[in-house]
Amino acid sequence: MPLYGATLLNLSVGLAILALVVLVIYVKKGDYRLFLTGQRAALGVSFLILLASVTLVANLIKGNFDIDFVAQYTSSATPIVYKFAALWAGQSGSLLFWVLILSFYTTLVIFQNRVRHQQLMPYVMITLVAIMLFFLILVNFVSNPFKPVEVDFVIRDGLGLNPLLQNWAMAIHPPILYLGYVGFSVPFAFAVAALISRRLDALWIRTMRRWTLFTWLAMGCGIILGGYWAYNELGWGGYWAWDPVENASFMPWLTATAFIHSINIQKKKNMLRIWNMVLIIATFLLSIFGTFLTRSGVVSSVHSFTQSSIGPMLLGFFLFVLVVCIFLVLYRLKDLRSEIRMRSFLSRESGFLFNNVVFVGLCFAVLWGTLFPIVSEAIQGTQISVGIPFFNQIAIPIGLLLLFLTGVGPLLAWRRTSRESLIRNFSIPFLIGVVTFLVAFVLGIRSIYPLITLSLSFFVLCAIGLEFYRGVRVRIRKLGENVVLALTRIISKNRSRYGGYIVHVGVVLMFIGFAGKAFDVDHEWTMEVGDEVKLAEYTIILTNVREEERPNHHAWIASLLITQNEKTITQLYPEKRIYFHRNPDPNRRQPHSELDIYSTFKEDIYAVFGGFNTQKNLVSLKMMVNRLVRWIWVGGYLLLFGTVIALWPIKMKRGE
Amino acid sequence: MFAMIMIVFTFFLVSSFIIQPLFQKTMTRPVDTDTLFDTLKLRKEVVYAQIKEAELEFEMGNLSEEDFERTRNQLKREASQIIAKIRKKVGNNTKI
Repeated sequence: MPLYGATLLNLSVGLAILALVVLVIYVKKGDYRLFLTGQRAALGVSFLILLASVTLVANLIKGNFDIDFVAQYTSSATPIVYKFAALWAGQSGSLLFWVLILSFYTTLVIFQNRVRHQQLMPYVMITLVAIMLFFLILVNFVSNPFKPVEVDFVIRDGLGLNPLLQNWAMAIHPPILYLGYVGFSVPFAFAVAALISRRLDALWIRTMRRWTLFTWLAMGCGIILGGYWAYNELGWGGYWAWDPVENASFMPWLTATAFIHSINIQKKKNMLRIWNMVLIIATFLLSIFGTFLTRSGVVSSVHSFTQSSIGPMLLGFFLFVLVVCIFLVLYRLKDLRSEIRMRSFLSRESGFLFNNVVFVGLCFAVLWGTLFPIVSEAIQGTQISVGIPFFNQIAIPIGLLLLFLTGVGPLLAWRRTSRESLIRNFSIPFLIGVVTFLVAFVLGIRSIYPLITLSLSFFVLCAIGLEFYRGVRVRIRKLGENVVLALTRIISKNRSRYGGYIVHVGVVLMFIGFAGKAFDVDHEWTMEVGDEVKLAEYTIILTNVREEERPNHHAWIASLLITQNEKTITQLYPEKRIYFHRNPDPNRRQPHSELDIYSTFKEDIYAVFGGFNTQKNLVSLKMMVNRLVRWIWVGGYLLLFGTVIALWPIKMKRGE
Repeated sequence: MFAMIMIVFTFFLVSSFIIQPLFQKTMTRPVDTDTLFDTLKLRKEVVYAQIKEAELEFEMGNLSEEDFERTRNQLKREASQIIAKIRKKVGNNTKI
């Protein structure tokens, strides 16, 4: 079967080249049969990639250790769900998974546009197939997942999946993130097609809004899930470390966020056409650049298990796309220019534009911080990392500015806002923001950033709350609906607008969660059973340590009783695990701390079993009290909910 | 052996699917929907939606009367221009 999988991948390269050639001839000759042949060849490539992926998954589940990838990332003891997840655990498998998602998207685009966008579709397919071809070349000739093991003995068992990756959040985090990363290829392909075919009207923008929202959502969920995994699995009590690989996913998400805001201006006002084109191209390029950062190993990262030699090829592809796109945009610059100009600084258009500039500014700051080690190495010969303080110093003020704009945007009118409207719309949210600031100050908060975050958060929540209140009030007054019905109708009839507001509420809640970081406390102890320690307002008692033998690891489990004023709050059971514990080679055994968390909306009590001295029965314990973290995850749910509302199709009435 | 049979089978299956349109004598291209007419129609829908939005904003109290009147008049002017362009393209008798 490995031969079957490898041959399918070979065939798909040939077929992708055929699809490209046939489609290019169609563009020249206009024979519709060639278009259909090219389209079918693209579908054929997708089918072969699907078959190859199924073949690899079958080998992973079966445990065919003759294949290097299977032997590297699974073992007989790996649970079946993680055998499946091993597809994206290693380089070659994840590249195949990347191209699988792209082939799925390509198929969807072809079926969606059987009778639509006939002028764009040949170029859309050429672009998508060209991207597929590049990744197929990588999986065929640089990092082949079907490569056999290079040893002259029979391998009875594989090395198994990294224990850190054996977590449900990590099992679904990469595929969701990939849905976003790869998904940006579709709006990019439409943008390129619009540029080449000179069909730069609003139609392609309308089609792209949904695609971009979906991929933006997938990427956002992927990023949040990555943070959730880091928080719940890595044991350092944080969810974001400004690691180059984290930044690699954050940068395209930032430009995509700018795009989904400014796309509204193009749709409504036919403005910002060049800007939108640049944003969608930049988003795709940053996705490729992110893949380059992740795979090349040019900057050191905690995600170093993916370093390889494909870096130069990815960089070459990135530069090629960059040059082609610059040429296309310059070539069509005259057609892209909009005749409509911004009429007032105090308008929603300018609010959107300003928010765009800030998003892109933040993206550049993150890019600079991420690339600084490479730049410093090129100039001084040594890699200097800028670290978390640099990113925080820049990202926090910019983030707060964005939070402020989140509240200001809905309060501004399209075209121009009069002084009267400004005073009426801003007075209540402004007052709430000031009151929040004073209350927080009186309650003892003295750090400037948490103070500003809280007051801005309540300013924005008030602005959004007023939007809902006023909308509901209109329906009650005009149509006599009850509150629930009016609220449901106001959302369902303005999905894009109110879905967006719900997303903004989610973002505000996340900011409140981020502000909690300023009040975290932590401590480490070495304890015996019966010992009692204090952290913040809690008393922690180590009541017991027991051992357990499990199918793929051995675990020591600590029982911790958490009390407050002699009242039991909870019991926590952090574990110290040894994976591959039956392996005769001690170097192959992998220790892992499985932490336990007691989570409330106020704070998380976070316990990490650092180590166990079996001779002296001593437990190394790290405890943290992390404030307001749960709000980040709640914000994530709202982000998902709001985007789904904005994405939900509107049922058109007959004749509408 | 089984792998070889599967490869040959897959190859013929995919090849026959791809080359099938080449054996057709004539192929008619589906009517393209992304025409100038559609662009104008879309623009008209967007402007109408903006008028509705401005009315909602006014009723909500977000827009002053001055802002509302000015916005509505601008949008109405824009809508008339678009309708005139559509009429010019499809004629006066066609329902748009």
